[in-house]
Amino acid sequence: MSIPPGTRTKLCGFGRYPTITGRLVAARDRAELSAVLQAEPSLIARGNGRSYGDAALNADCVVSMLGLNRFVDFDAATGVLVCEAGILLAEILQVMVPRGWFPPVSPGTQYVTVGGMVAADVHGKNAHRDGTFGQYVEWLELMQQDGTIKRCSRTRYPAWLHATIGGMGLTGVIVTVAFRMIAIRTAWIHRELYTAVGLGAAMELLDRHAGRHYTAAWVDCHARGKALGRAVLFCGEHAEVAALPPGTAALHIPQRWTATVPLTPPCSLLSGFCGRLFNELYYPLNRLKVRQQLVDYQRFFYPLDAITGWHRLYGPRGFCQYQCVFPDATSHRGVRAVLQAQAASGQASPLAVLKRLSAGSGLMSFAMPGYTLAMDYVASESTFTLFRSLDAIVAEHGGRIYLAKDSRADEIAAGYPVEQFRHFRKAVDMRFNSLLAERLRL
Amino acid sequence: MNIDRQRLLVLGATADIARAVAREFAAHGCAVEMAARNPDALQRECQDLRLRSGVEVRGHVYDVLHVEDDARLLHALAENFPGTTICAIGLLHPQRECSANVALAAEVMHSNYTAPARVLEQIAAIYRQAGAGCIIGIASVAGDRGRAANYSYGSAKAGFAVFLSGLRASLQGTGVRVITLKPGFVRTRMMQGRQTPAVLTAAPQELAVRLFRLYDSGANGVFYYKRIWRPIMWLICLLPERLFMRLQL
Ligand SMILES: Cc1cc2nc3c(=O)[nH]c(=O)nc-3n(C[C@H](O)[C@H](O)[C@H](O)COP(=O)(O)OP(=O)(O)OC[C@H]3O[C@@H](n4cnc5c(N)ncnc54)[C@H](O)[C@@H]3O)c2cc1C
Ligand SMILES: NC(=O)c1ccc[n+]([C@@H]2O[C@H](COP(=O)([O-])OP(=O)(O)OC[C@H]3O[C@@H](n4cnc5c(N)ncnc54)[C@H](OP(=O)(O)O)[C@@H]3O)[C@@H](O)[C@H]2O)c1
Repeated sequence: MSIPPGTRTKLCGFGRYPTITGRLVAARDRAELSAVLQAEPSLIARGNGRSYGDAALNADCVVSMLGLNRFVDFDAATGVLVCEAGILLAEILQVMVPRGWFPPVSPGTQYVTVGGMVAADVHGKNAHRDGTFGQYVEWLELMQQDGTIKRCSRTRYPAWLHATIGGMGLTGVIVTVAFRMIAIRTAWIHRELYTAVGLGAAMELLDRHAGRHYTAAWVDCHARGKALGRAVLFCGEHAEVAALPPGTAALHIPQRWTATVPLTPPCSLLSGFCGRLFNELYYPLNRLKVRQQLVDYQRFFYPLDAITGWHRLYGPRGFCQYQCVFPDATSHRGVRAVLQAQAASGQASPLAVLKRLSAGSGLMSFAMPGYTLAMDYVASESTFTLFRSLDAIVAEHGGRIYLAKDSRADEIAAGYPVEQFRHFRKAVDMRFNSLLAERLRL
Repeated sequence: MNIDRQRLLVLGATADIARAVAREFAAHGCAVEMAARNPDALQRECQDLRLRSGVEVRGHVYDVLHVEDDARLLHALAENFPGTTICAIGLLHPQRECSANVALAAEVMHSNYTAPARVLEQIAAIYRQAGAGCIIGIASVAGDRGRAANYSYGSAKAGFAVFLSGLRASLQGTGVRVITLKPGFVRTRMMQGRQTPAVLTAAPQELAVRLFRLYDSGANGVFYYKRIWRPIMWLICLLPERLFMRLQL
């Protein structure tokens, strides 16, 4: 078996910070993958690079999984789909939605791989109710450094499964994943929008709608004082056929308006834009109190995917996301403190996403019962200063930050069972390694 | 022989370009016969295509360098012979290695030219007799002018392209079409490790979409992808030999 040659190229995550020059090797089947793993002393798997920071970066070797993108099996009786780990969620949707199946959990973009969804144990708008993606994994195949494959499930190698879900690629390379999908009758979502005048109201609304299939809130980060935390809440349910206008093909995926950002502007254009967007939604809606609409699933789940390269609008320096979660007991105080600190810093994020989570399903999963808040910033020294002060708030309230979004923290031990994870890694293999793992000493 | 217009035969079905083309044809409702030399990879591609598209997909183990495989393949297809055949078989080795090892050079030449020509000639005969069919051959811009960097491969692709154009001419008026596709750079396994300019480089899916459109519109002739390659190659072919040599293109 010949080893595929690598390409020296610039590599980065979605936030384009940090950017390194590294070697990218693409494997297209397990034989090639196995040859690469046996040859490389240090490497990390990479999905579609939608994690924001350095989770899928390694100075020696990065293995692209995008070539392992085949459907392997589907059982319509149980809804279990088996696919290779490099397949994009977008491809799964395109094939499965017309047949009446939907992913059990879906992040805010469809351009992620299934391997990336497992490795970060991603959560979606239904995290308050249905947990994280890892929960729906029936089994997965994990390739080790010697090129052999372990099939891990809740009964065989359960400790491996537990460490791999949310394990950020550090336990091996996920080759195949079997996960349960959910049945849908239409490609449409019945959406309801509500407004909340402040943070208390927003959290109360989220709690009140906890029975809904999907919920999430956009928070205006510029609001202060009484209006601190004012928000627009989105709720959604999969629409029934009867709810569609007559003549609509229920499972047909509507064509979508799309655009591409052709180049990176010299400075960030996004802050002003998002602020305006929020206000345009908030004020008219606030008079109405509630607005109901039927939207197709792409507009509901992946609004930003319509604009390829939207994140370039953050300018040439790249950007960072700060996403943290607080346990139930301290959620109100923690979220309020974070919003206050970032508004006071004078570099408020244009928007924050506020959501309720429930427990994750892996050892290093981010999700826990409580509230999560996510905010984007242009990468800069003052951003990092702000982030350090937010870190202190998170630690003080017993919360944690999301590794898939992080690019700069220097300590996370308080929030995660790092000792236990490190122990597991040492016992099996330290060759799977990323800049993230080195930075945080995982 | 019974020709099934809604059926595609893919020679070299595990090629990255072939996978994309098979998917595109299947998305338009074509059944697909996949022929490739690696049985495990073939089986995986067949299963993937079946699940994605829901069309009938069959796999045939086939190595174009094994002459005896031809008869087996054609026999297996005989009942419902696919009305369209695409040949995506190709082999590229660095010129250095080919020059140092004449056996390897010969393998490159056979894989890209003589062997595919042998099987396509037989398929053309079937189409000719039936008075219908479409043959799609993947040649390459590398066959338009011999370069120091890949003349073993390039010369074979040139031979293949000339074969296809002769075949096209000989089939004129029979109802059988021949499409020669000359890709420039395509992001596939063959190109791994090489940095190529983005404007000249295509993704296999885009190529597949364009090829299906060509096929569907009744095209018969030579086509480049990306299209910008046609004027580029035209200019390159115009360069006097001395200048061409000095430029080391
Ligand atoms: C616009 C946007 C919205 C998002 N919304 C959400 C959201 O709502 N909820 C949420 O949870 N996340 C969200 N994310 C984050 C994203 O879902 C995760 O970062 C996900 O891991 C990205 O998948 P990827 O395939 O791009 O993986 P990459 O970014 O390439 O890699 C991420 C990690 O997964 C590992 N990995 C990837 N493939 C494999 C494999 N085959 N085997 C082993 N390890 C592997 C990598 O080593 C790395 O550690 C969002 C990201 C963006 C850009
Ligand atoms: N990529 C480009 O930039 C580019 C440019 C111009 C032309 N082309 C041509 O496009 C076609 C497809 O190539 P690709 O880019 O998709 O690369 P590829 O994936 O390497 O495809 C080449 C295919 O040919 C098959 N093959 C080689 N020898 C064979 C044999 N003896 N019998 C049967 N099959 C054989 C290989 O089989 P295995 O899978 O078993 O190895 C492989 O699937 C080729 O003809 C290539 O020359 C490509």
